[in-house]
Amino acid sequence: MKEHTSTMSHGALLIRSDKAVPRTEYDLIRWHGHAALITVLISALFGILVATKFNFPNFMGGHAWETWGRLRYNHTQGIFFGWLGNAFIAFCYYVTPRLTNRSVTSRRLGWTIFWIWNFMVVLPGWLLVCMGFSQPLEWAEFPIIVDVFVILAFLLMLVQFVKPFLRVPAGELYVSGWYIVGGLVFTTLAYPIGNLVPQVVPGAKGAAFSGLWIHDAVGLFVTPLAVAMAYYVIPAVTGRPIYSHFISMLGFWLLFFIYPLNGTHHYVYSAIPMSAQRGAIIASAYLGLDVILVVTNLLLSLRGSSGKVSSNVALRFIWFGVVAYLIVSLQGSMQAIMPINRFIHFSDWVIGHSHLAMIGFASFTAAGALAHIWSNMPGARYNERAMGWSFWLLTIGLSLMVIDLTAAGLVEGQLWVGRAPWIDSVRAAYPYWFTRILSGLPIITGFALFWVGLLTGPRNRAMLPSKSTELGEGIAASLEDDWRHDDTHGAPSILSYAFVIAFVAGFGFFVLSFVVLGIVPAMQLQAEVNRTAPHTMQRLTASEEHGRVIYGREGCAYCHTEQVRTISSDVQRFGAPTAAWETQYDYPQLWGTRRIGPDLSRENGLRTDDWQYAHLYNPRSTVPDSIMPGYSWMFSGNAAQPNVDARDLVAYVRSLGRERSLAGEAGGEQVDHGTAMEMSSSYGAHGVPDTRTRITVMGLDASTPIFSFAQSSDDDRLTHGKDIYAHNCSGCHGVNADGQGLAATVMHPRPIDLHCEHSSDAHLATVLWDGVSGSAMPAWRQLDRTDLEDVTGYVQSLQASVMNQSMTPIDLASAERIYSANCVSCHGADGRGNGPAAGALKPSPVNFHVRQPSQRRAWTVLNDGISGSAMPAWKNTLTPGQIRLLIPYVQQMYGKEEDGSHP
Amino acid sequence: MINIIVAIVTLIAAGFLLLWILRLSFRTWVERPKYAMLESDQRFRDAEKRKSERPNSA
Repeated sequence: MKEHTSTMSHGALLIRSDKAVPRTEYDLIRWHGHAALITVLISALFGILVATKFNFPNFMGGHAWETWGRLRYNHTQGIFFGWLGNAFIAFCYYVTPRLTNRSVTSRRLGWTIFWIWNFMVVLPGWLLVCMGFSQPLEWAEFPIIVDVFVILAFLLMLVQFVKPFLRVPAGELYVSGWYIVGGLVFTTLAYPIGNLVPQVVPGAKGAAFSGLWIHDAVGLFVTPLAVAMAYYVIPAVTGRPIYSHFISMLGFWLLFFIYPLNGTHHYVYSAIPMSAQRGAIIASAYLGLDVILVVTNLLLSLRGSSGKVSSNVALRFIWFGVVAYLIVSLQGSMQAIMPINRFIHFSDWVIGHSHLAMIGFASFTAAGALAHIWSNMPGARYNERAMGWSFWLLTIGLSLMVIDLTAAGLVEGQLWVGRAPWIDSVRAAYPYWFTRILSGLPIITGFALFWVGLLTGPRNRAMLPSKSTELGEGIAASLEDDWRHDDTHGAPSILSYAFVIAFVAGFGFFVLSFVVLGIVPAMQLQAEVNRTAPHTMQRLTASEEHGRVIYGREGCAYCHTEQVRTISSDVQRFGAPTAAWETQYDYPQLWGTRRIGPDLSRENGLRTDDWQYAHLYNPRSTVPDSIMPGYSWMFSGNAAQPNVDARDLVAYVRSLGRERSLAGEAGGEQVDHGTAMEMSSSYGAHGVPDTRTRITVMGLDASTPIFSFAQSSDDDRLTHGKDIYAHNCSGCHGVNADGQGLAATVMHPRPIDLHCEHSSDAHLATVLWDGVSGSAMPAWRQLDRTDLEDVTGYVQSLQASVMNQSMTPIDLASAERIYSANCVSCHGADGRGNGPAAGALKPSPVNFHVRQPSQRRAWTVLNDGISGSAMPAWKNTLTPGQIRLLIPYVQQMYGKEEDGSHP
Repeated sequence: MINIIVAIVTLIAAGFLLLWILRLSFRTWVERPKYAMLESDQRFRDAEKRKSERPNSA
């Protein structure tokens, strides 16, 4: 009986094999395949340039089109559309006839899709981004005009590929077909949501929709097509059916039900309602279980085929992709969990995760599918040796990159949780970023060799030997059961409509997820905004709005977040958590998902425009260890001459957090109850420290410095202080502390020459603790106590030793008269900088009791004034003799007690 | 709401799993596409092979 049925099955196969097969559009496969490889090489080059700029920020600087942000946009969009998009389309051309027994809808339509995809999406997208036309939304960076063609291309793909599938009875449709249909239908729906909705729905509400697309791009376009590839190539190469089609379908449905619910996990601890966040976290954990199911099924399908995995490069690529899928999905589920998310989110860990997903899983799987197609395509050249080298180079490069970035993320997370200055995390990441550059080299070489593998080698004159006999051996036993129950070929009637049901349910579920994670949170947020937003909240000015456009165009949001999360380390470092109402006019939201530089939500009032211009023109002039790209092309030759773009960008940055400052404590009322619990547990105290002034952790809100410094002659501490100075102060005050730093020329008032005056300990401490309002001198509270103590010790060691000159009573009386007539209104009668006009002046007039200028400094200031302050030049008002009298007069005020005596 | 969706999806999945375990006809029906896929793939290979073996074929 068994022999008979085997023969029957075998016979059935042979009979069916005699039938004509529908046409496969091999030309389109070739063109899309080569387009995929060309674009992945260009995209990888973008990636390597972007990575190089981390360690060498001046590399390829100075021109707008080659700045970090624009290249970064082109890197990810090129991988998404150019590489994976073309590879997926090539795969669809190969499998659609094989899974539907029908040709794709139209060859002409195929060429239309090819031209739209490559010459109206990828190429113009890259060019437009380089020219400054983009949108600052993750996985949606190409400008809206390009989005129109993307949507058109997806609609045409529905006609081209999905239409043949619709004619296949549900009971006969293989799982790869379900994934192709599901992926294309969902992406056609999700793409406009992620790209267009945040343009019309502002701030936190828009972020809820952005989160949907960030995850849907990977989860509902890349994942379904890649899994479809794996499910096709594995049985095609091994000649054995997959382990279980039922489990594969279970995996399919769980993926499509659960994946759309994940999106908000990109915004854990944000202003998005905690209910949506928790739901997304639960869905993320559930998704991990689904992926275990899918991967188990795929790996069980490879049981007994280890020899083929090692000998067949296509299968080896697929196997690696499947394993990477498991790892990256479990990693993703873990990352969504709050205790882990708070630690690693925004760090390089996430970049390692995304590379593992897009290269390890998606690219390896796509490469495996292309290799399989090429090795079976009539007339195609296929170089297995080059493919083998490609596999190992990609494996080595990717492994190095992922391990490196994961370690970098852990280091960054650790530094961010503590009180280390932000720049410490940048410095700590240098070696990891350099390793990342190195890891990119084998990756791009691997892709190049892969292309070589598709262009060289022996041509497929004939197809591979027929596997009819192999099939007879391999699947006869399985088919035996199948054909034995021949009477079941007619599926239950309701299930014959399963495909229609799937389509409707798929569409319906997309709408449901859109409602659950988009509409509902948006409505809750709107209600919250209506309840908590100050009535007086003002929109950005035209200049600030233009600056915001530039901020988005240059990718600033990809390094600087604009969301202080409701976790203690964020609040402690940056200030009050971002409230939903603060973002109610943000079109689109610029929350960001990565921090290379610090969060800027509370930038208002922290730094002067001078500092910002100097930083924008040459970031290393103000922050010597900064890796930020310089935007010199926004200036006319130097930092003192910003053009309108620079002025507007600085105006925008200056506006960040302004409304929250004006709102005061009332501005924090929106904090969700769940968030409040998290916050209070973080602080071990009741209530939510939701404004900067209420932060009590580590004394950061102290009105007086929490440190003091001993007059230490310890050489080690002096050396440490000098090191701190070099990394934090030299950009403005100069390497030699002479006030001639790179940024000094554009600062008004200029940074002080630290050799030319003597300051009291208390004054130095206050300046470091509070900064100098009205000058570019920022507060340095983020430095730890030892750093502050040692740097002040070092500055003290540089200071001038000013000897009080003795004055005759006549000179003293004359000087007192001159002082009273000219200086009292600002500096006060007793020289404490508290004259009647002082309150309105920034920076405040000098208090001569705590600052003692040297002879030279006093002479210069009295003659020339201080540009950028209220101190005028007196050389045209006072005679040189009068100035000479004033100098010892103010010098002798230093150190006087309240009663005028010296201690 | 997401919790409810996840719970419902779990119940549906469990229901289908039971059906798969208990109903042979369902199991046979749901597993059939994996054989058809192989058959189809082979059919295409054979057709391409025949095409390439024709005298005027490249």
